Amino acid sequence: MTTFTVTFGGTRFHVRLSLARFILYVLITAGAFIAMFPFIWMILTSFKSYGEVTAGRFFPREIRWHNYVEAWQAAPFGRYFLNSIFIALTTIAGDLFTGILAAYAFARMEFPGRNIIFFIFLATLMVPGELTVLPNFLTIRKLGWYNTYQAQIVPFTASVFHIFLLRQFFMGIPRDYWDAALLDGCTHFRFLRSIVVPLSRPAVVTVALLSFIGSWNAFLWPLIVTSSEKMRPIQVGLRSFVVEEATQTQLMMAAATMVIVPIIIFYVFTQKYFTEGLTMTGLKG
Amino acid sequence: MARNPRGQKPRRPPWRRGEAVLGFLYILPATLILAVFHFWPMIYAVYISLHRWRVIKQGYVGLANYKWVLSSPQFWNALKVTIYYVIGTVPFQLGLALILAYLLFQDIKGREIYRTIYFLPYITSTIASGAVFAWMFSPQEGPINRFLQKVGLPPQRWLLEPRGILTLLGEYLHIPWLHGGPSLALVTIMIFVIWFWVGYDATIFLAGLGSIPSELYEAARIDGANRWQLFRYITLPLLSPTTFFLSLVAVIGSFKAFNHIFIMTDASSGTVGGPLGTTTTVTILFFKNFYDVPTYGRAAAIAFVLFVIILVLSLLQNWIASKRVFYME
Amino acid sequence: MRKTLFLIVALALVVGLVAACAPKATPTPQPTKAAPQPTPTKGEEMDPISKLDPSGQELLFWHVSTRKHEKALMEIIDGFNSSNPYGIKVVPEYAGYYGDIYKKILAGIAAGETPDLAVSYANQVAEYAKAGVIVPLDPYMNSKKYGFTEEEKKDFMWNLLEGDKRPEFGGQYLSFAHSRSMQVMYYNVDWLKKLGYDGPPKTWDEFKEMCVKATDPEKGTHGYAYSGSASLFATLVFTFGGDIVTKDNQKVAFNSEAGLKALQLLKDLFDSGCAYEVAERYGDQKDFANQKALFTFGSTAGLPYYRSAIESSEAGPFQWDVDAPPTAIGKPVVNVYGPSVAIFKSVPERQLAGWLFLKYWAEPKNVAKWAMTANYFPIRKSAIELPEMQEYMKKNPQYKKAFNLLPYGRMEPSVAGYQQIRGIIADMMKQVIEGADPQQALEAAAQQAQAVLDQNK
Repeated sequence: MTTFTVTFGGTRFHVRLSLARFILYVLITAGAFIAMFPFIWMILTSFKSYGEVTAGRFFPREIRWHNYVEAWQAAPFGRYFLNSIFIALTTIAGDLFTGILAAYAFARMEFPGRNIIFFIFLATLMVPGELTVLPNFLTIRKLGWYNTYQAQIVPFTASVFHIFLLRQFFMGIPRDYWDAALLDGCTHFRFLRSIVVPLSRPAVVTVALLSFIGSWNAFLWPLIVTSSEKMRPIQVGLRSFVVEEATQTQLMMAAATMVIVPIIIFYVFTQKYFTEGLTMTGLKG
Repeated sequence: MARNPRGQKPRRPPWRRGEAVLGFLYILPATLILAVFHFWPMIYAVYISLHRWRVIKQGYVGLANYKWVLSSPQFWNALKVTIYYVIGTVPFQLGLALILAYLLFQDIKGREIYRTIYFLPYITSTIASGAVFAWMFSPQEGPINRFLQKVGLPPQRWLLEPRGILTLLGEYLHIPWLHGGPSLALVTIMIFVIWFWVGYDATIFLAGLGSIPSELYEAARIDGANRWQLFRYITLPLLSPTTFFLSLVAVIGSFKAFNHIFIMTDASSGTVGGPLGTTTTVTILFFKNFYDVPTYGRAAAIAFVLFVIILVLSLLQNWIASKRVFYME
Repeated sequence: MRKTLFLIVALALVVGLVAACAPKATPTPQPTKAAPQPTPTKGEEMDPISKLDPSGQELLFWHVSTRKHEKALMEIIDGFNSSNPYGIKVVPEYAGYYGDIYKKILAGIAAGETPDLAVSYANQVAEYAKAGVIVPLDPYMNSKKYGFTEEEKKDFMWNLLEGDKRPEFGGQYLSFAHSRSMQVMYYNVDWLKKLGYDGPPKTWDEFKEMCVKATDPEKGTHGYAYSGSASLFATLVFTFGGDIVTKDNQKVAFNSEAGLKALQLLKDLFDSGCAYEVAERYGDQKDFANQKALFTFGSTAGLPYYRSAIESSEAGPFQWDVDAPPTAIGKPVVNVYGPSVAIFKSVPERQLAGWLFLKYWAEPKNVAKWAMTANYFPIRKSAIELPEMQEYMKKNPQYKKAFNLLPYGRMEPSVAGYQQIRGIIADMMKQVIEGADPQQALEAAAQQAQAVLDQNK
């Protein structure tokens, strides 16, 4: 153990750390600074005037809360927020439902053609998403779903990416557990519900988070399949600040900051599932 | 490793008819959605690729679009750029993410805050982060160039530089035979991309780390394993399903790279995929053929040639993984 | 290994099957090809358009406007909806920015569902027209009952609508624009005075001379903050008396003497070190405001942003102005651009209703309102006499100066595929800056651009 003296704001702190720990903290703090620098820039910019943005000032001369007011009024953000939250939550529900079932089947069940089907699933990740826009738009029109929520939800209620992620985690659960459960007369569904999902909570939560962000950030598809602002999501509102010859960067950043608050809340909320080291004692049959 | 009480590996549960039916039932909901919104569009896109198709269908042309793609120097150049991009981003982003996840999994003060901060690049408005990177790498007054000058290195043009990094290095070191490589502009974008993905990959690694039963560590510790041994013989193998997942997805994603290149070449004042096409990946080329001139037939053919390349590589990866990835039995 | 092989074979089979059964699988909407409509015969009898009754039509209008632009647009639409005697109702829908609305319309064309009216750039309209969904406007403009009067026609500055007129479609107008902006030279008046000049450069030689004088590596100042684009190249080519494509939109024309001179000028400016490339978007605006660059070229739509940047710059405000770019042909030329509005094919009555809305929007008070909102220029001369316009000009001296350049306006070609040609031209400019031979770069680019044009056949 070594004692480091850190002076911060005139006060001296004596920190007892091993050298390795100290280096660890220095490293992750430096990395954290690099990671959050653009985020900080985004927030600082959201308080600037247009002139300060073009003049390239890093700090605003004064905090312009008014940018937020102006940004909020630039588009029907209230409605957009509600739409996005509804769309994101229903998408997560559907995505988890289809994803957990399919991932479990691919990970733990034996059925003919399993690996081929799985690889065909994976193949859909290998083409640019743009290629699917046109045929999917035709499908939405045929289904009569133009300008509806379901047009923005249903296509995203199954994600190969998420199925793959969950499958990997499900496969990491020792087979012994299943054998033991089988001896107890446990069904697949019960095993999935009461053992697999709880044990894979970090993965399930990660999928929920990614699903939320994906849905939250959707722009082009919702724009193409909707016509009225009653149905449109939050990203459409962000587009309001792009005008010819100069983007109103400060307003756009104010809006962008508002828009990512829910994601951060969601993320912080999911944090504890990552930190819980899982103890499996007592689960052994 | 976890074994059953009898101390021997059990035989797999017998293959049963009921399970097969149940298996299909379990994948049915996902399959339905995917069939309508992914498989069908892909079939449709194959159909498009066999036609002369500019916004609307103009006529069947057989494999002419594929011939055009394979004989287009633009395509081969884009493929080269794409390969540079994949090699330059995937290993770094995954390596850094693994280290970061491992560090953040330790018992450190305020780790929730650190984890949130490291996730910020993924959720920060890319317009904001693109603008910040364009400024940092600005040739005139960017902090990176100022730093280079301070330590006695020549300032660079970064996003505006179409010459290969080896050419630049060769000029600086006076080694005439050294030339080529990815353009400095592409390297700058790769730095941005790595910055973007590290925290995200680390989040998934963290989920993987969180799923490793802590009793394994305890048992090993009692047996006298040191920190490195714990990492090498418990963490790495038990994390391998996650590593496999991330590397496969990262390779597929990087082969389709579009977004960050678009943002960065658009945030700088140049053209998308520039300077001089040195950041034009296959997907950027696909987009130009899809929108700049909406020749859908050609664009679809580009997409499917890329598809075959990714498919073969993924099969290869899958094959390697089948020998290396460790699943607890 | 065997498993993998099996997978490959299985996948190949699937792909094969797909390819085999695909052709009959999909019905595709196939809008009828746009046959160039003959211009209506002039005569005393009623033209077919004048016989139509547009009463009671409801029109879907896709636009790109948000915030204050949207407000101004809504006022114009409300004005039309409440004042037109036919009970026509225009329903506006925001469809994203230019790139987005283009994608939305392309998808709409494939689905056979397009709006009645939409805002787009003229070269995008050319793409829609190739798919056969655009209505040529000439019969409507010339209609006895619903068209423009001779007097009105004289009031329009038709050179500002040059881009909406399509040689490939019998020289008809496929879209209409209510306002335009132009690319002008921004210059720092105080700085020029300090260098000993009492006016902006009139020729490119003067421009270069001033640039060189303003360049000081010690202070980090340059003559010209260069932001390359095809529009800038078009400006240069125009000022050397050349053109981008031929009048019939069939052949590349920039591989001429004028094009070569334009590239040579770029090369000279960069070789002498008085020009530099900006790396950030609007970086030239920023450097101009911070007095790092003496000249920039930019759209007049950026005027308020330049003003705001200069007023709040760290180095303090200074005298600045805009003017036509220097020229080599003795008279000024400015590159004019801006979006247009097109009418989509439906039934004659609806199309006519759409036209009536465009015509209403073209009334002097409306074009003035629209122009002032976006800091664009109205396309009719009489709009300028309106008191609100006079007032606006008094407050914006640079705007007034630029307005007087409108008669010298020319437009870039609005041919289908021009977006790709723009990319080719931008690459060519970059090559020359990087040290390529202008002649070679020009020829290579012309060849590529011609291949794009040939695809239109």
